[in-house]
Amino acid sequence: MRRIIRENKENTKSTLQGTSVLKSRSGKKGAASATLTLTSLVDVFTIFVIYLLINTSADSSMLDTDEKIKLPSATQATQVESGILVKVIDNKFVIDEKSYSEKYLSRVLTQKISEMKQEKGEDTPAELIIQADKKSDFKSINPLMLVGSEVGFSKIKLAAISELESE
Amino acid sequence: MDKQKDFNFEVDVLPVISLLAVCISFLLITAVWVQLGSLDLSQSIGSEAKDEKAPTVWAEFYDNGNVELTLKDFDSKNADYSYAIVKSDREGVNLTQLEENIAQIKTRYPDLNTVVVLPKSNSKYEDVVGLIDRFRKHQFRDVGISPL
Repeated sequence: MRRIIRENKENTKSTLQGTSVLKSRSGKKGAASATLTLTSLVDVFTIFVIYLLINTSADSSMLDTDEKIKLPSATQATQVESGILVKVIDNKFVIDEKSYSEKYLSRVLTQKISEMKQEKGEDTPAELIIQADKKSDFKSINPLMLVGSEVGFSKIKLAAISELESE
Repeated sequence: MDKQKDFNFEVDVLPVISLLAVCISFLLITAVWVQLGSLDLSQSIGSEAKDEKAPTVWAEFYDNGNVELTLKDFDSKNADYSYAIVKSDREGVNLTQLEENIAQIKTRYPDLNTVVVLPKSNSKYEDVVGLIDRFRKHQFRDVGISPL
């Protein structure tokens, strides 16, 4: 019986043997040794990776914000799908990284609408997305709203940070 | 005695942990923690005019930060009815009080869906967006801004 038990002990090996074993250097009999269980760490890392993969969204690239702009927050903000983005910075209007004054706004926006319709089809609705700093006065945004309505945008949207509703 | 075959079931998990650590580092750097969205406005395009006889709530900003809520065309006589004037607080426009009034209006007139926001030139953008957000929260479907 003792021989059978000894043989079984010799045949069964730990799956972690040789990978993560801390042994005392003295090698004395009865010296303490500690094994580090890495299975839990692997589980945690796996869950973390899965969470981050699910959380990563490619759609947010639609609204890349400027560092000078701090957007207001809104609980009813919906996800942006497409549109012509105009940023209002220091009373200038930035479209595709180019800054324009109010004088040229109508011409540039009309051009952008025609380019968009050529690319996506005549029936595609033209949508204007306005990004402005939350502390800016409405008078800096007003020209954009007026021109936006005149040149034929079917929808005007105000960019905001999505916030959860507090109950 | 026959020697038993040795089966080694050892799994080396260190490379797996290294791989996961690299994945996590990459995803943490590229993760987007702030969700951006937009508030849709119901605006007239060009010379298109909205139905002027539909009952409407007008939210008018004043220079001192007060906001007046007026009900327009809400009865058969198309009369205007000033519902409330919400005075500003220390921080500016009192959005909390405004939200209470908006909730009361919606409870009293559940069919009222159209809102026009009339900001002043010195009205803060965050106040305008905050007000529109609160109207949307209370199921007012058509919210628009009247430009200066």
